Amino acid sequence: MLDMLQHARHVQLWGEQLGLGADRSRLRADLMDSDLLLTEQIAVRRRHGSLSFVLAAQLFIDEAVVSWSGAHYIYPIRARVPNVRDRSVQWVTVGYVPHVGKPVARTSAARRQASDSRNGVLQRCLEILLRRFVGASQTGVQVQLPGSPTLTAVPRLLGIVADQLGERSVLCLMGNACEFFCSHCMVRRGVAGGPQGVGAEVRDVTAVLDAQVEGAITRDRDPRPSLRNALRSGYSALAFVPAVAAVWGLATDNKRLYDIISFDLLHVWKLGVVRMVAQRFPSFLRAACAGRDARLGPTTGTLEVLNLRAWEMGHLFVPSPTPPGYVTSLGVALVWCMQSCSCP
Amino acid sequence: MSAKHGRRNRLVPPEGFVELHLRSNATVHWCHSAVAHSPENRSAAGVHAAAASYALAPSRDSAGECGAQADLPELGGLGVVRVPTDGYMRGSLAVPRQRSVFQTSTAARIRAYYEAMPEASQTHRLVPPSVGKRPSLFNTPLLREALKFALSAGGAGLSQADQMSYVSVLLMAERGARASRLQSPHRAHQLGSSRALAGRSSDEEDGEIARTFPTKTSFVTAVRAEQRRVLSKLC
Repeated sequence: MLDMLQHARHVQLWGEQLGLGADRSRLRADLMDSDLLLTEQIAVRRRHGSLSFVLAAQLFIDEAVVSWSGAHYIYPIRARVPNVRDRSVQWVTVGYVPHVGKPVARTSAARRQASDSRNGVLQRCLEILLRRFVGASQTGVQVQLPGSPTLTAVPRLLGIVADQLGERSVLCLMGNACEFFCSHCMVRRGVAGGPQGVGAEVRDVTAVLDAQVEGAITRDRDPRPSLRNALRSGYSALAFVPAVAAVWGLATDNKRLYDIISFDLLHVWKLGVVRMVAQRFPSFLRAACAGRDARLGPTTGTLEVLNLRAWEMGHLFVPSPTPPGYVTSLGVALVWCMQSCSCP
Repeated sequence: MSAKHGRRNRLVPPEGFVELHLRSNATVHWCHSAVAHSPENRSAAGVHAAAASYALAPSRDSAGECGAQADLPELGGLGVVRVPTDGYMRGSLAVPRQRSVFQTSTAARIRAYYEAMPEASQTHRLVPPSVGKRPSLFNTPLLREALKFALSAGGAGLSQADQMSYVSVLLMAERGARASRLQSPHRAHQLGSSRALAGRSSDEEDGEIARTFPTKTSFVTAVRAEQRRVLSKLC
């Protein structure tokens, strides 16, 4: 990462807000002006001094991108440094994780063993990958950039681009069919989506991680599944420890562990989720804007703007095997669309 | 005052007084050793034994366990000393209060959990760090493009045999371009005059690729070295 930073032609060390737009709404372009980075930047500069900056990193993990290494089926972990503003450098493959397939035997013990292997391999690969990153995130690293004094780069993990299955795997949470299926809050499955689900308490990072550490230590000694019931019933969590939580800032300070997940929108689009949402968007707008116009005009006008934005995205909707440089721009555009369509 | 009323000097703890934070140890020690103590050897046991002879009961459990021995006058001396129930309240005497002892941060615990695993110590670098400090041979735009094509053509890059074929094509193209320059009379005159002036050898007039990679195998070796050089920086 430091090599990428030092050899980049365009580097942005500190993030800042872009200000307000013509309609008095806050402009956002990418991660360098996001709330996530700005709050981390405040914490980093308070801890490491004014000559420190957040060396942001994003990881991309998608188990669907499987390739054959000659010995194993593997899927890549890619990294990106948003501080580097060169258009040529985007995502770099920094590691591969072996794919653990389904068990041959159709027994619960075999399924549990395969599941444990899958989760353990992923977390240990992440830990080995992030080992030096974790140490640097706590102490910072001295960087000498041309034409500037010696600075302290403090690495922070500010994004994990994955689908929902990948998100639950990285965070060591149970799958989508569990009771607490939301990574951000503790809403129960039975009341989610209804008025009773509104205002559910936020998932406590420290409590869940402490329980997972205890559960993992217990599982290392005794793998019986009955010993994991407390984790399952209390948090819908697995008896594994998310290795990314060792990075400073995710379980300490601002505790943004559950805020750094960014869904791979193209992956979600391929699954049909966004398409289903888009089909229902006109009905939603007619109900939400009844009697009033949306910010960009009536419902029909807003829909025209949406279609225009989709047309401007153009080829970004087309699936391709290229590295996911589209994620940021597509996400920003979609967020802009959603903001522009909200009622004043 | 100290000489005449030694027992009333409040700056000096009374004889046999035990600090609160030492009382649990003293109680345990006393519980284990009270049976062995006797009035005869108490004087020889010193201050610590005398201090331990008090029945100190900072908690109900210790009091219950040692309550029977605490009633023994020959071991108690001044009698039973108990900590009042409000002894740990804020604003009371400056005795050590119960403290909340925090463990380290959750992030540090997770880091320690994974570093305690065997693979954390068994893993080793695939490429030593010194390889990453060597300068790259692919230091011009042409060479970088050649490297990029060799590593990315067809998705997975060229095989070693294909790399040799690829660099042979590049070398042939360079030689062809040089021959065409020499055949051009105006250009040949310029080259001849400049060579005479500068005294440069014919090797210096080779192309970039021929200068950097004189043989086909040297290109393949350099590509592998470049992969190792980059790989050493990833760990």
